[in-house]
Amino acid sequence: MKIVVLVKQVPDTSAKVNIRSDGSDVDQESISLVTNPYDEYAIEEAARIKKANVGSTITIISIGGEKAADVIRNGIALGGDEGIHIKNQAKLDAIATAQVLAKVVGEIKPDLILCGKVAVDDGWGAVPPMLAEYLDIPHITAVKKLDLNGNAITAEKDFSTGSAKVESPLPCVVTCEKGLNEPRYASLMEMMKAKKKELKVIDVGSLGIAEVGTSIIETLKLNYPPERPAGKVLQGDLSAQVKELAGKLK
Amino acid sequence: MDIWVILELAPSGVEGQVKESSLEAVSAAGKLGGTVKGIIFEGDFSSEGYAEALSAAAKEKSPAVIVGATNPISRDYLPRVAAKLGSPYLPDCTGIENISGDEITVSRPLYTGKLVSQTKVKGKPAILTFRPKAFAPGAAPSETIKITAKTDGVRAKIKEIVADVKKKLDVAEAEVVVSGGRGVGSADGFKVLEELAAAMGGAVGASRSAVDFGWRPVSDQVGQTGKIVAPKIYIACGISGAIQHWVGIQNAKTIIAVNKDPEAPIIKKADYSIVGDLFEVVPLLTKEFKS
Repeated sequence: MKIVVLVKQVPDTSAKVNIRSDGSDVDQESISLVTNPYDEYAIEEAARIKKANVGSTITIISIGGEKAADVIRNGIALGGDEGIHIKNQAKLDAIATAQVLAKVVGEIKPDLILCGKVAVDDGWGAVPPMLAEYLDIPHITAVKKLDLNGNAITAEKDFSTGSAKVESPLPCVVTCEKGLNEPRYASLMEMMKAKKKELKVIDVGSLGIAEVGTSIIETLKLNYPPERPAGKVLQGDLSAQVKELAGKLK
Repeated sequence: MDIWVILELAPSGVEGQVKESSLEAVSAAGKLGGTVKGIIFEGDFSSEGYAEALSAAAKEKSPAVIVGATNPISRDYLPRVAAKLGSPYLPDCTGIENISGDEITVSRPLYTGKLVSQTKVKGKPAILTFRPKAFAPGAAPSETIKITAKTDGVRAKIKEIVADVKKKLDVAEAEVVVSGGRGVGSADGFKVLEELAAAMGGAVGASRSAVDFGWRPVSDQVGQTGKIVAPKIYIACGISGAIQHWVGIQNAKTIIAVNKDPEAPIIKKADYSIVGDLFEVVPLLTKEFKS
């Protein structure tokens, strides 16, 4: 089974994000970078599938600047066999990203493409279904359970006010929801081994994709969310506080 | 210039009743200028089936913008539509800032709500989904277009749907959310929150801790790696209010905190706080709303 796992490097969710003085972008220097939390479920799922299907291979792919190599190596430490770093500095919108990945992933011809359901920086969640469209394969999003049956998969996901079981032939793009599995931690030895692994590096420009130069989505300005006015801590005995609160809410 | 609004039907069982979040998207569509037309899908949902059908209709009729509510289903198939059409796609928009020719500037959160961005999209049709509760609901458009979901050639298919009878209301769409965190202590502890939610006609949410402990399902999680909610009333019980939870609730109209710990970060930030044992406070509050 050939598995591709797409990973993205994003700011740590616990970190404060500061806006640059010109309001156009975040202050990149101050941010601590991590693997997108939802991608961790993708890496873990790939590792489990590989364990259950001897002879499987996992390729970890990321698009990004120099530092993106860290998340690829992290994926290798957790079970990836090889890594591809598509080097890119400029902002790419989802279509451009999906086109780039379609070119690179298309050459690998994997059976399964796993990724997180959404990246916590832009919140688009758009690339995986777009990638599936460009590769002309099906996709299933926000999967909370995944089973392999030969050349097909059965996935479970939240649907409307309940759950749905979705079946799909392979190859397929699957995006991972929190709770799909319990991501493991890499051992020190695995991390050190991954540090030495040579990654395949591709310059995004060399792929010759037109959308990379243009952008149909542009961030014009960034602001902090409006401050809420200071709140009130109610006083008095509990039942009086509850009555006061109920009065305000009704 | 046509603006298409995807009208999703409420799972209330009432024939033809459109979801509130779709009617909110109608309001947003109204701000774009042009003629607003409702899109109603017929046939069972599949990612490819909906994507193919909507793309084909859009290619044929050339709407300027396609608009909908942000939810897991729209997030599933609309990107595929965008890929087919070469369209800019942005989910989770919270406002419309500017329209100029085929360029639309919207506001939407970034970094799970830590920042708000003004983002411009260029292209026809632009595909935009709006965050529930960012707009007041509007009246359903008088003109609707029925689109039949494709079935031929669909590869990923739903085989079975299991409804959760207990859950009628998505936490991201409820007017009132009663939410519990580590302070609730157990799955059983959530019973008092469920009773308050029922009395107030709301949904029960959970912090990441409560979900990670296995007390509540992932779909109830509110916060940075869960759902971002903007209800009229958000009652946080036994939740400390760290930044990761706060970004998920900061857009609520009124935030209430019930917590034993007077030093909990949420106590200062909430609009109203009661320092006390939630197992004492919440039942008292339920009584107030039952009467």
